[in-house]
Amino acid sequence: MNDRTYSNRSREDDDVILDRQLASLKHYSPAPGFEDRVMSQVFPPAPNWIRGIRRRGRALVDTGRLRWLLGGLAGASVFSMCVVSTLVILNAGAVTAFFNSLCAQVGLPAWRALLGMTAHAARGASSLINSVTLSGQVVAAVLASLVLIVTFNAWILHRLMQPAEVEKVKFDVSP
Amino acid sequence: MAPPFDLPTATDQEVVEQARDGLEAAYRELVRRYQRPVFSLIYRMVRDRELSEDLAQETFVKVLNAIDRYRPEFKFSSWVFKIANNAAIDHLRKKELDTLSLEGGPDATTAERVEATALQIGDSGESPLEELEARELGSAIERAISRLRPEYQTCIILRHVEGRPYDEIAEILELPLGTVKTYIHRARAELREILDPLREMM
Repeated sequence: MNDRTYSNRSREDDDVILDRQLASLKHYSPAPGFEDRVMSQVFPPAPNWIRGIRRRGRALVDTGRLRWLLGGLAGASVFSMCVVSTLVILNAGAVTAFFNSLCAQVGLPAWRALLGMTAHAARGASSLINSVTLSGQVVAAVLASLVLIVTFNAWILHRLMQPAEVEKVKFDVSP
Repeated sequence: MAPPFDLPTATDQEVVEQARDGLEAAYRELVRRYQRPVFSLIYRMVRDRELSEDLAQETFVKVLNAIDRYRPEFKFSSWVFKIANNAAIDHLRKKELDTLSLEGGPDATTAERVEATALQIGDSGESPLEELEARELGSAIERAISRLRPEYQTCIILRHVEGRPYDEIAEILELPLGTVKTYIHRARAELREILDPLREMM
């Protein structure tokens, strides 16, 4: 009995010592910069609203409702086109008058303004060219340069378009 | 956009919600909260600082990149520890296949054979990192823990270092509650057996 009591007490003492040793265990820290190293490998998440759209899209596909949605949209488009066409056909006169007045009030003035601006720019360029007087020698030099540039470019193109020459490699088999 | 509450005082679930909304500060907060416990668990199991950092990093990258798949009915800490423990166990299994045991070769049956096949350590010059590891993991209790089976190590560390309840340890290790209690009981018995001769010497 005494032995058993002694044994129990010894075991309890051991437990207390073991608990104390286990309690002395501490946390270790990784090297500085660990957090940044982890974050450099974490993919930035998409904003919530984008993920919401994706989720809804996936749900539409998964539940098979996407076909109904696309069919509905196509049907609605065809229906609205038919309605518009019918309205145009039934009110052809009014629609034509409306577009004519729109062209007369907006389209024609805008077209005329565009033409006017183009003519003005062309006149400006023409007067600029006319104001420059070049001597015969300068014109000859410019023309000669142009001919040289064209010839040089043609020669480069000709060289570039040649097939690559196969180099013959002679293997030296002598010891 | 400023967070609606103070991240350091928020619960894990609240921080995870913020992370799911794409708030980088929430991701960082989760790393800050768990970097030491996760690193400590892995470090005690693999006993190599650099490798432990790699495995801890791998754990966090896995957790944070899969945060959308986290199910809130489980504790976030259980999820993190489960991934960390799996990373360490996988590494130990791989290592077991291509290394010799420090305690001697697997076919060593006699004392002479064990001595002959045991790896000799401590003879060569240690690098600063190895010195740090020896200092950190050199205490009697740390060495005793390292001699336990990996499952026992995880149980003891989670219970006595992290202070996790039995049911959470069971969830982390995917074991029945009774098995976890048995493991901890056996692990403590083994620790006592290992440490007793040292106490007598002191």
